[in-house]
Amino acid sequence: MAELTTILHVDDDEDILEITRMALQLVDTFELHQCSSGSAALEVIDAVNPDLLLLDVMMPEMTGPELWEAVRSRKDSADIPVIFMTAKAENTISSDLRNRGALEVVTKPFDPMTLGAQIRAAWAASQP
Amino acid sequence: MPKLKPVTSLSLLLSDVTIAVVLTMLLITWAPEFAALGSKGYFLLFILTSAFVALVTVVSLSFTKPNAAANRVIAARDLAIHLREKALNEHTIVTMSHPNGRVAAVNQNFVDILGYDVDEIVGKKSETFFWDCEEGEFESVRDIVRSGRTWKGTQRLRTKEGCCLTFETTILPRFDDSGRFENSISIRTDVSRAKAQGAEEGRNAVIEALPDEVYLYEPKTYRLTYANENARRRLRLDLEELQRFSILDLLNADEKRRFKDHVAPVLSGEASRAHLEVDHVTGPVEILTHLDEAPDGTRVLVSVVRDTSERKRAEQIRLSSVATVSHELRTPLTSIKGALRLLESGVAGELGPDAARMVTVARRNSDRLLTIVNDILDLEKMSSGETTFQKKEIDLGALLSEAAEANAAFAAECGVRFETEKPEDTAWVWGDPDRLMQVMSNLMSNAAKFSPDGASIRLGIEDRGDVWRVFVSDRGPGIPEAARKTLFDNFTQVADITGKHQQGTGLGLSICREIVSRHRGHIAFETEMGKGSTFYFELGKLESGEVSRPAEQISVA
Repeated sequence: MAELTTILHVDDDEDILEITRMALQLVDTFELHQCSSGSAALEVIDAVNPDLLLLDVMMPEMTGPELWEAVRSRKDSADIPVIFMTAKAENTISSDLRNRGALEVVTKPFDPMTLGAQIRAAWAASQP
Repeated sequence: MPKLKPVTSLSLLLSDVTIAVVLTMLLITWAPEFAALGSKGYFLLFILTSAFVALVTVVSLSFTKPNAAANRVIAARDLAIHLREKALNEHTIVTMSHPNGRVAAVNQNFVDILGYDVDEIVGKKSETFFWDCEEGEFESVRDIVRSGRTWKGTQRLRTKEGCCLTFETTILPRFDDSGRFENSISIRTDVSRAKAQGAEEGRNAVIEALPDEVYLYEPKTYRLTYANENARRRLRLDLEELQRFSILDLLNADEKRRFKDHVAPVLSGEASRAHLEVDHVTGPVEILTHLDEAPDGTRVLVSVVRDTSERKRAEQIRLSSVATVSHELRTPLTSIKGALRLLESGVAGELGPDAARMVTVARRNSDRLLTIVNDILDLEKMSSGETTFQKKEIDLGALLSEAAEANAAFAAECGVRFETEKPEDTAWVWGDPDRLMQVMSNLMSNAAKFSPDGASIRLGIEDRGDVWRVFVSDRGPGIPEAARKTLFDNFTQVADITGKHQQGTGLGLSICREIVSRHRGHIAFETEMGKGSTFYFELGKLESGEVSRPAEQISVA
């Protein structure tokens, strides 16, 4: 089973970036890289070489799903698994993203004390 | 032999001569022997027949009563007068008044219609019997009549019982031979009924032109008796045609069942008015039904059907803006809650005891805020039809036990316990278990919150004929009268006098009602101040044949 160590997190909200950082680096122990836009993420993705992408759905300019499409279209990053985070509570969006291959859709507000465990569980479930 | 007037005698003579001529001619025709006699013979024959006719006339007159012919003429005139008076008596009340305005005489109709005894009328001022009168009104009427003119107008009289009757009145003056004003005759026709009828016709015209559809039908057979213009437009029937139909003929099987359920409480007298919302193919409508009594005492059901599409649209706009706001609230709440949670956990450094307490207060209230936001979103999604219900056959008994177990910890926290009464049968219904569990949990947590320490809360399922009733019965303070009507409305809360808990969102019961109504069920409560409340919901039983129905996803319209 592949190990999950490096996560690239993309969200346009600075405060949520901070909460997530504490959740995944203080409560849990991931190697975390963060960007506040899709274009910034595409610039660093090769250098970071993450095991997992943690993407906000609603972002200006490039949405989470659009960023995912862009990542998938690049040969080097096509297979990186994705977990989405969204404040939109519609079941349809969640199920649509899952159907398209997202490991998990985390609903905001999330609990920073259990976010790491939630990500690890989704990762484990996706492993062959 | 009676003495006849000259005119009568002359007419008798002429008729006798005519009869004699006719007889003579007949004899000549029938007996040829007389013809042979010639003109002298004819004359002789005429004299003989005349004498015979005269003799018969005199004899017959001697045997009849004196002046019989004249009397017959007089009798006929009397009869005419009598009939006219009778007719007048039938339709009008007649009063004769002295010049001083006091009543001299009245007809029987006056007594019958107004209910006074003759003694109470005669000698009294006419004004006594009036419902109302303006100052100087009588004087002006009297002046007109005294001057020899006829007065006509409308007057209102008071019956002995104190009712007001409206009359069309004509007052005629009468003068004696010397031309002196002798008295006045008032003839009054009761038009109260016609007036009431006129008012009713006016009302009918209003009903006919209403933008709502109005249906009148018989309570027993549901046979239509009337539908206003807009209703007839929907039915595509004219007034005469529609009377051949029952209102149930116009509905499909499912609508028929729902409509009967809707009318039942009105028919049984359980409710004075029933309300039903239907998503008709032509758009959403609401139906309001009540039982009315026609003037002749027959009972009639009245259903008013109102187009609610505009209202629904406005509601939808309001709800989607609420949803947008709610969503916008969730993002900052993520940061607030997240930060507080991290502070509380100590990962960001240990807090002093006071600081830790404050952080807990802030975190708990951010939780509460999130619950409100989620409840609003939940309601909005259900109202807009975004929520899909995963319905299947479920046993309410098993679900109730599960819900009781899930909420046992909360009950213990509240110092109460659940006592579940097992139903005798398996209570099969067609429903979404998660959603129905949500309803049960909501009712249970409300009961737990409002019950005093140490109380037990009864849970159970009752067989109510066509439906299963799930009830949660508490020993709380009861629901105050003022809150009862709006209890299922959004943001309605009852003060928690036990002081045990924080207020809820005020949306819990609205959500319950929405879920139950999406199961075509019914949610209600019974309460008694100081004794407690029983909340229950009822769902249609699943017939054994229906159990094999394939699982379906019912998208809520």
